[in-house]
Amino acid sequence: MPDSPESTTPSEPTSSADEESRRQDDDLVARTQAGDAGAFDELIVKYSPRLYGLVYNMTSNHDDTHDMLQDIWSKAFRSITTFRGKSAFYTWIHSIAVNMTINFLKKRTRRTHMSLDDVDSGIHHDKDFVELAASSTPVREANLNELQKRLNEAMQRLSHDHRTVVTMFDIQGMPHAEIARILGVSEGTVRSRLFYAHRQLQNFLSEFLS
Amino acid sequence: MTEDQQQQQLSALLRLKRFEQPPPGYFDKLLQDVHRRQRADLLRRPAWKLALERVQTFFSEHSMGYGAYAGATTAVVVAGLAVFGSSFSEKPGPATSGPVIAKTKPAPVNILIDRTNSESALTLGGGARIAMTSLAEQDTAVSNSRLFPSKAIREGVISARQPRYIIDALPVNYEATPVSF
Repeated sequence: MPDSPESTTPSEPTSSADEESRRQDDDLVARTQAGDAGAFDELIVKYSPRLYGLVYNMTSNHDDTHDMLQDIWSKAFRSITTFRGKSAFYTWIHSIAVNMTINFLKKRTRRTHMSLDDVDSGIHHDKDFVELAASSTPVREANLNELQKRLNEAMQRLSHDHRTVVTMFDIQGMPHAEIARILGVSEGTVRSRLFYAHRQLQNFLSEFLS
Repeated sequence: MTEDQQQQQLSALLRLKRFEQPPPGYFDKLLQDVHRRQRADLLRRPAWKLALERVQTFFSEHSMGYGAYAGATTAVVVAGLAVFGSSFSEKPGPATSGPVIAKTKPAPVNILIDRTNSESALTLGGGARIAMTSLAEQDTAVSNSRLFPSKAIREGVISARQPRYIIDALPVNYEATPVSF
């Protein structure tokens, strides 16, 4: 398998940082269960950026992402009394997000318009993005707008399951084990889905990879 | 280009999507919207669910033993059965015949006297006309009570039965004056 999670997860937190984060989460969850709404707000603030990336890269639509995030947090708030801490809150909230987003995608009618061009044109002025884009593709003079568009289209052509693992592994930098826990499948299944998803993406984006 | 190189390039391309972030201040707005959604959800929830939650919260806050829970549950069940049973026993059966007096509502008594029937007119010499009227009890009682409250109460109906005379449609003051000879 060509996948190498270490190479694509440069900012993986250390285990001690993970443990500290989990302790904080457990404390916030306990306070929420005791009726402290402010504690739940802290969880929202902490995890919304990651959930936004997850949902947005699965839906490719900012409005849908916004609606989904509200649904996800509402459901989490309603269900938090049933959360017993068997898994990390991080895993639990990501499982809710993935399941709700996949259900949403199954119901959603095929969209002809992607909002990416309208909303994210601002990142073309981001120096880091431009440098990374220039180094990522041999087509140096490639139009960044076109590159974004093709990336988005390629993602949308993947199946829901394949798009989910690509989003979690390649974009969000989660390790295989964590993805497997969130999706409730084996690590082998995660690796297999990634392998086929990458092959499809290489075909869709061949002009940027050659 | 080898497959590994292609794979690395693809990963680098996909990492570009990390830059796609919402505009600044978005997450503050999201927090407000989530709060709004929570309130809306709360309003949409059925009352029995809210009541159940409050009961659960109450019991979770007041940690009691299993015996206490069993006792409380038994008390609630017994109380419920008592209320249920009493509501059944109060219902009259079809064969039982209770007092029927209350079923027939008596017609209200009209204490006003029909003036047209009780009024008689007398014609005197010179064209003077005297109309004799028996006013309603309450009219007289009220008018008397305004002047002589204590006396009106004492005499009551007796003063009300005194006739009233009207000459040429002008009422004659028949009431007793406070001065007596």
